[in-house]
Amino acid sequence: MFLRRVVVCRWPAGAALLLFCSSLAGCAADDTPGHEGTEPRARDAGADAAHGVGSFEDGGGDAAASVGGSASVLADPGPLLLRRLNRTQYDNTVRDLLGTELTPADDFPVDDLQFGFDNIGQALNVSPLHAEAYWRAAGRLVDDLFARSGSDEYAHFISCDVAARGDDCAESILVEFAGRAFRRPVSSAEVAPYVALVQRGQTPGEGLRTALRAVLASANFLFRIERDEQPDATAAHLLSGHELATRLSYLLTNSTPDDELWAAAEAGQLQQDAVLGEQLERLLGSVGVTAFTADLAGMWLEARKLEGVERDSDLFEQWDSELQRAMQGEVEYFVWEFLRNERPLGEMLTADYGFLNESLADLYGVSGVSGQVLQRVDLRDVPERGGLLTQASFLTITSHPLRTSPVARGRWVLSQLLCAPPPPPPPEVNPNLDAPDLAGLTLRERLEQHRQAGSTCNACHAWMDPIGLGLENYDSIGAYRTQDEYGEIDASGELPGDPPQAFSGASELAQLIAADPRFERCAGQQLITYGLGMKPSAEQLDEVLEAAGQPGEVTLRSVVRALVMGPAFRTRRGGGREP
Amino acid sequence: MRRAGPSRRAFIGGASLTLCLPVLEALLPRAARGQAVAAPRRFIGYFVPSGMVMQDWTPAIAGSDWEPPLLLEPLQPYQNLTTVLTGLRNTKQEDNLGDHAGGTGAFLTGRTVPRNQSVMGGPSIDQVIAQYIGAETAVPSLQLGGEGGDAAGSCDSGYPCAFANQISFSQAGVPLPKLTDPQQVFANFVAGPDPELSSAELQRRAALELSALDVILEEAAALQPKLSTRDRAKLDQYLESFRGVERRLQRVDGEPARCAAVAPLPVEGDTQLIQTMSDLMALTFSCDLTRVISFQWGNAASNRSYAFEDPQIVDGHHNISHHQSLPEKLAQLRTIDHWQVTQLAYLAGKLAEVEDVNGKSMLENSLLFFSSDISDGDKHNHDDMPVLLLGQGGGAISSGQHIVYDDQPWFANLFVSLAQALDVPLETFGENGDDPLEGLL
Repeated sequence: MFLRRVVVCRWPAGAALLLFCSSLAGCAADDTPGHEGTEPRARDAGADAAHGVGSFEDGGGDAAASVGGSASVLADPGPLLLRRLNRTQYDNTVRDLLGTELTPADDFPVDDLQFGFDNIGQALNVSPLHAEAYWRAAGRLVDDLFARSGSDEYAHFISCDVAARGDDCAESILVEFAGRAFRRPVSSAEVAPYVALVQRGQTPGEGLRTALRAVLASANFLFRIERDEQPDATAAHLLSGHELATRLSYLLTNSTPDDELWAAAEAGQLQQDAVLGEQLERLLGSVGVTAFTADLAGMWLEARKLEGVERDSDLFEQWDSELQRAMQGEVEYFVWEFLRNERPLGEMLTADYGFLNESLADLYGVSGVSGQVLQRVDLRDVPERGGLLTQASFLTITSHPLRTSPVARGRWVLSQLLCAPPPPPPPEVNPNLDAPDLAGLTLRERLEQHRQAGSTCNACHAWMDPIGLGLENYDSIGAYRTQDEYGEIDASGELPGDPPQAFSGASELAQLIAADPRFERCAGQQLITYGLGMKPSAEQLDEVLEAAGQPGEVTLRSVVRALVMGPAFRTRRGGGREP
Repeated sequence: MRRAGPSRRAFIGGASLTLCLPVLEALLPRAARGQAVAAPRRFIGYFVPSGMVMQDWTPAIAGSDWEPPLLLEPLQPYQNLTTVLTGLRNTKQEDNLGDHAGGTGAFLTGRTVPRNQSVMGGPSIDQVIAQYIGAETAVPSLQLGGEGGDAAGSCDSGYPCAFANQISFSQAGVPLPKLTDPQQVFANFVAGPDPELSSAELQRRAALELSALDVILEEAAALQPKLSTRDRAKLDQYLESFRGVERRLQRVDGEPARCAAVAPLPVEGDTQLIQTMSDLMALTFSCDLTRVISFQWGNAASNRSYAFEDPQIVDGHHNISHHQSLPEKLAQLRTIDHWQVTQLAYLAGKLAEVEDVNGKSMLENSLLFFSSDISDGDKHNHDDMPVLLLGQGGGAISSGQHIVYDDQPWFANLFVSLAQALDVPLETFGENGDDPLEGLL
């Protein structure tokens, strides 16, 4: 029943939204249009009226009618693109499908990031190199399955003796195998060409392996196919139960549907609100959801970047690969915590708890934590710690090897937490903050000089630098300090806005961001981009946030719920406007 | 000079590994054996990121009597096979943003990159060339590189990372990802089939695989009408790519291309990486596995650490490339650039030491185009690009010159000439390659 509601205007028309420079010209100008696709759209009176976008309760029927009407713009699921499995999804899928320990995607080319994520339909192309690698991988996976003839998966799929029982046996094997691989039921007719392959082998066994290999190289396996019976129709239509199960499963576990979800799809009830909601809650509570939270931590909060960070262990005695992994793990646990519990998003900034192991606790100056395992730690007595801005991951990935970068930290806050990235520096004005003529000045003074030096820089650096300067109490691996090489640290800063808000230190900045509506909106945008594999339209974002709760009360879980239960996730269209 | 032959062994990448070089002649059509044959022509597009220190790159005088400046010194042994082209332009972005991604996506395509798509408006020149000279080999073209992709974050100015991480694009503009691990190159392309198997058995297996590919290709084609137009374009990529596997298997005629039996050892460090990749380039050419390669040493705005070359270089390459004319940063950039050209010379050496079927060296018979996304790392300019060619393309190019162009021709003009040098009938290319470059052929 999530969808039957009155749409409340959460963004008053003309709301004083911060506008950021989004182009080079914008750096020199005072105000320029906001970041594309992130601005809330002021609604007209008609759109504010109650217009339920329809229930999917009956699980079928005329989708165009149920999502149409006055809400046709809002209900547009957008031009979603066919998504191939990315490398992580491929490995997870063959692990869950075949029980293999092989990770064939190690040999695949990297998946290009777009909008900061590796699961964007547009960027998931297929090249001849992919085809060669997929073909090889399929062969290896089938050989591996036959080498594990005692395994559950072997017993499940190779359910009869193809040498003794011929085509009937081959057909029953292939109907089951292709069905699970294609994530939908397949008919005998559909597997007939595969069954014919069995006879072409020198032995039935070789033929069967070849047929199974072909299944694992099929477009139906490598892509998450969603059919449009009327490919040019601009109206939305409901996904099939299996297509919806596949979307849900890859969103929440980054893998193929498990048995229970599969059964719900088979029963033809998944488009029912109650059934979908139940499966959603079940998966949110499963351990499989850590694949989702690891991706959010890794790409939204960029904790994956820690893998490429290097520090001189002579300068940073605590630095080692174990600490590096703990930093990354902390963010993953933290996101998981917010997904499990209905905590307001703003608390991601202000939380008075963290997930530490002994070495991370040592870095943070927190006592009483022992062992390598990350555990939830109460930080109420540690005022300098708590929330994303004081986590070592963020503080480290935005630093240089030898010093912090207030600019990079400010930029990260703007782009990852407020979805308002400043443009990169124009040519020939890049700062050299380590230049000899700046010797003796503090980092704050150097940045001030730099902002004064060129007015073209000032427009954007006036946004970035004062954020980062307020976090100078944390060094380039995130350890707390009150002094740097220039003396006592001045952690005063300013969060740009209308009006700008002054603060001192991380916890005051955290309070400001937590209360800033841009943060909730940005978190929603990041999550929906990941969930749909495309950047949502401003309307889609509004739609999901409205369903996710009152401003200030939105949680990660409520955004996921609103996304999954809403039309963008449950319908699609073939024709119509392209991005 | 070493003649390619069955008993010769090539040393791979300082990784203490020997590989058999196959008999090049045996790979030629039967009719051609024992006759005077024209050697295959080969092409490499070679990319390094973030430009060069131009004052140490450009020779002082035009013509054939130029003295190599500091950055070209490593190529001195091959100066008569080196052509330096001064005054060329790479295509840039119209909005003055994304100079690195724009210059990288444009590098071999001669096109501006789209801001909201992951597909180019047309093919890269290596793919156009591969359509002609690549059709005769098991692998029409190879994409190799020295850097994968970032684990998180956005690429240059928010442009899709497709244009930062790739320089090759298919006929339909689809980015062609590169292999960056020598062992992956080996496993996917070089290893070849099990040597214990007879020709008849190999052919039987290939036929069985081809039947399987028929099934999935027909299935995918039948799926097309049930998909939206935009999804059909994705499935086209699938069909085109798997047809490539089909074409490779159709070539198994009892004498499969078999480049090496032993995998390269895992490489340690960037010097071993680039040299092993260079060895693999020479190897795949000499066993005629492929005739067209693109090599992208770093992604757009690569921030690779060169501390391995000089511990004083603590910052990353891209950061240093914004040198602000500061002597210290320029010195570090010079070190990085010199190292890169030294590695190019290593590849030149590998190609030079193999004797091709026509008695010339493989370097002479090949044509290598070397440049970058931008010219100067601080100015981000796309004119006055650092461009050089190695080889003669089998004699089509009169190498050894330094040619200076005053009218700022585009890379695309050069590509028309390079294609023609390789007997590819190309008249125009990209967005602005309306004519060939003068004075080259």
